[in-house]
Amino acid sequence: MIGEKCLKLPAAALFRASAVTYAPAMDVIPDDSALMLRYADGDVEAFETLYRRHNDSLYRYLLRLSGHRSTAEDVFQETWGKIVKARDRYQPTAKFSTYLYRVAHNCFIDYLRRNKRHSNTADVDPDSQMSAGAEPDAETERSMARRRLEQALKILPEEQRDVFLLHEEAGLNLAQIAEVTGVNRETAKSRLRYAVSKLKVAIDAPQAREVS
Amino acid sequence: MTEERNNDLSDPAVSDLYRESANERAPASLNEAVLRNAAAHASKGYAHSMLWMRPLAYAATVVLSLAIVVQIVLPPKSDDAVPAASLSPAAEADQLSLNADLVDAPAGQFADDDDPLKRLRDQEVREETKIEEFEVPAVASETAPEAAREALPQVAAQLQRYDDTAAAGLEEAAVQARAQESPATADLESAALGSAMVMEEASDMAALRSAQPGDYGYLVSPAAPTEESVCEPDDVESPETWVECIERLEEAGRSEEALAERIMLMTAFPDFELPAE
Repeated sequence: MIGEKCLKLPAAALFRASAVTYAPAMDVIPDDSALMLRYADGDVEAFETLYRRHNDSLYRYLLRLSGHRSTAEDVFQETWGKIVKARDRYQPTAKFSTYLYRVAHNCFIDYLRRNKRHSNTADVDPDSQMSAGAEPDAETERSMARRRLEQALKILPEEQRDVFLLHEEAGLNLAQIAEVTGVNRETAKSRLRYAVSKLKVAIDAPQAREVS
Repeated sequence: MTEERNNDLSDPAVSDLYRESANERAPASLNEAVLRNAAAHASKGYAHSMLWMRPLAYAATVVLSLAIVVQIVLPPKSDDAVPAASLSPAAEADQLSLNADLVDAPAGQFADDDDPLKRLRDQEVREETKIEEFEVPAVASETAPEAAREALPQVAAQLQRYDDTAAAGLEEAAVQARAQESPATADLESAALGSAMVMEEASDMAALRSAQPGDYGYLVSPAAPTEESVCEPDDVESPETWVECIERLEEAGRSEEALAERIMLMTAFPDFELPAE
């Protein structure tokens, strides 16, 4: 039951929950690198466990990064395909999630180069069924804030969106984000700061307008 | 410190709001496709590794089997092996056996043994019971006729010469070399050598008992008979001429020399039947 609950949590929450909930039994839970090494030895169940830990967060990362469901699915499948093929060459020198998201990031970049038709016009809108002014009374302020966040995330520059998603979905720190995106730590830090600042402004904007 | 700075960068309100909205999950069809692909590659990897492991296992089995067979079939190399003596082990044993027979034999044995089959059986018995025959001489010498007792010093001197020459050393070396090949043969050789030494001591004692004072002076005398025959070289080429020479010596009263010639004749031609004296 706890495992199912953990699978439903976002990646960052999953890491925090693992650290707290499973702290007394850390030695019995194989880490991601151990699972990957076991899979390299032919243990398919180890891969399934590893996959269940990261599949949803990676899917959300790609979905929000690309803004297209089909693109996200293609890149998602390509990413895991590369992980599977590179299992014999895998070396646990870094955190597995860093390795996974670096592969996903590169796959997405390659996908953009191969598909010039890709545009930032996203087809994913969780609140697309609701128009902006259709149900202001029924819509809670919380749901309106979520919608504003989604809209702001879509219009963020791709580099800033990438950094924000890596931080929120994958739970990576600045050094790991810098490693995944191929920039130095200060650049990653700057991008994350700008992204968070813009999202915060977008969330608070109506309130500010109401206050003013 | 780094985590704190990361937390400073992230806004809790933004993070919480994002997590509330980010509830999408990977489609089941996508999960199934990825896991199926992973399982297929895992089995391929296992099969690939097995392709290497089986020939390797076969090769290792063959190499180990060959090594074991070679170890069993080929004899171990002996770097310190001494070249074999000119005489084969069987010939050496026969030689020693014959000498023992000469010590033990009654005076008329050479003339009485007319049956070739009997001689052949005796030869076989001697080969089988060399050790027992070598251990007897002390008793046999006490009952031997005078002629045989007179022959004892000759035999003893001959055996002494064996010991004095390098033949004895070669025999021991040959025994040591063959000990690595056949322990049974080595034991037989050792027993034969030991028996020869016992026989030598026994014959010396018999000679001392039977001989008159002064008769055994030749044991240390430089005038003692040597291996060289008093007969002419032409006489010793065939046993018949050698016997004629011996008869001439007996007629001339040189009985000791005649007896020595008889012994040398028997040694040189063991199959020749000597006529009765």
